[in-house]
Amino acid sequence: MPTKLSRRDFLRLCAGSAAAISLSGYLAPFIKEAAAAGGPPVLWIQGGSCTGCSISILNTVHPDIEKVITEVISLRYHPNLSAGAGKLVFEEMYKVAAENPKKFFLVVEGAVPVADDGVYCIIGERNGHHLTFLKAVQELGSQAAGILNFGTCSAFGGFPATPPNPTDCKPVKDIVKNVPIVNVPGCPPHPDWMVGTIAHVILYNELPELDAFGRPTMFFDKIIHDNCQRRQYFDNAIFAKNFGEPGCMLELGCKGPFAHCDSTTRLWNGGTNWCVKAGGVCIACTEPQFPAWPIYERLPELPVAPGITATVDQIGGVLAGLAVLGIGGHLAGNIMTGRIGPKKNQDEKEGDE
Amino acid sequence: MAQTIIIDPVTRIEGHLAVEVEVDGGRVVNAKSMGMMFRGLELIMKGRDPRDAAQLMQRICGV
Repeated sequence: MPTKLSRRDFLRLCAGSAAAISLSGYLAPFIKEAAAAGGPPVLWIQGGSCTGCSISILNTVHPDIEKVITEVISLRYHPNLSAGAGKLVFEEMYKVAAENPKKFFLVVEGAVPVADDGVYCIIGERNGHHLTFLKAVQELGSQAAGILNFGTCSAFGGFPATPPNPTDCKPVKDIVKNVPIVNVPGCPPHPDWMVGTIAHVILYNELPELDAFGRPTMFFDKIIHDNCQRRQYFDNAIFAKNFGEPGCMLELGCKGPFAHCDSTTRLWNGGTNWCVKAGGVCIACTEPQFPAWPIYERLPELPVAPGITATVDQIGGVLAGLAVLGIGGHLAGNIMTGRIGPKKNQDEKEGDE
Repeated sequence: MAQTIIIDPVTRIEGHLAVEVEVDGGRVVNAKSMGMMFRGLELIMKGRDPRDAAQLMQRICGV
């Protein structure tokens, strides 16, 4: 059996790409040992979601998900995986929470609709009454040692919270205060991000290092654009005008320059491919603004902070501020030097041709 | 005397489903199936670029 994994090695493993055919495969023996020594139970609840995050974690290939949930993670309730239904599973969920106050970790998938007292998402029946997701997050969240928000919906609001936000969906951080929260955004998140985050809390019984948006830096400190396989096209000012063409897809609406994650090197479906390599644009699904922006339009305005936007032309002027926010300085540099003109000029040029 | 059986939540499905069944003398006399979540995705799509529909509407269900 392995000895305890040092945190430095853990982070190297999570951030590394060469060896990471499957992160969970490497971590499994270590987590298993930690779990056997009394690892915290995990409860998983779903609200205004599409279940895509759960399906993504099922895509953990080695070891298979069966091993992860039966031997590695003490997953005590999951709406898609629990064998029981109705009263049976709900009582078990609340029993686990009551028996492990401030010890269990709550995984939340989906945004929390708060309009009309949360009636737009009812997750089950408890004591003869409908239990709203809002109430479940409040009750279970406040008792948890920490909340792991899996997916952009629970982390930032995501799709259901997109304007006009019909059900007044909120991210979990607006519902539960004073409980440590980790955001693992993505639509859906990569299985390694989820397993890696759970592994960290089980192994070290504390949250991983987080960025300004509450995301673990071990997975979200890289910018798509910096590591993109089409980066060379951008540097040579070769831009695709249609899908399927060679070239940087910035003009087709790629949000790679603002997107933080390591998909470029981690790859999806067991190391097969990722969004841009498959010919699609990056939709920046790990960012708080997703999907409020037009997906296939080059953004005339870049959201640089909540409530603050800048036109591409202004970016050169606020270069220092952008660097702090982690938006690649080279992008602004390229705009400054005229490599990428303002959108209006581009359109005019196309019209002239 | 009819007996009402409520199964809520129904697990191993996508979304939130509740089932209410009335049984009288071993026979089902009434049954209700209820979808318990509303996100208003159609309202969100209103006025958006039609091309976004392909990216966003796939997120109705992730299964």
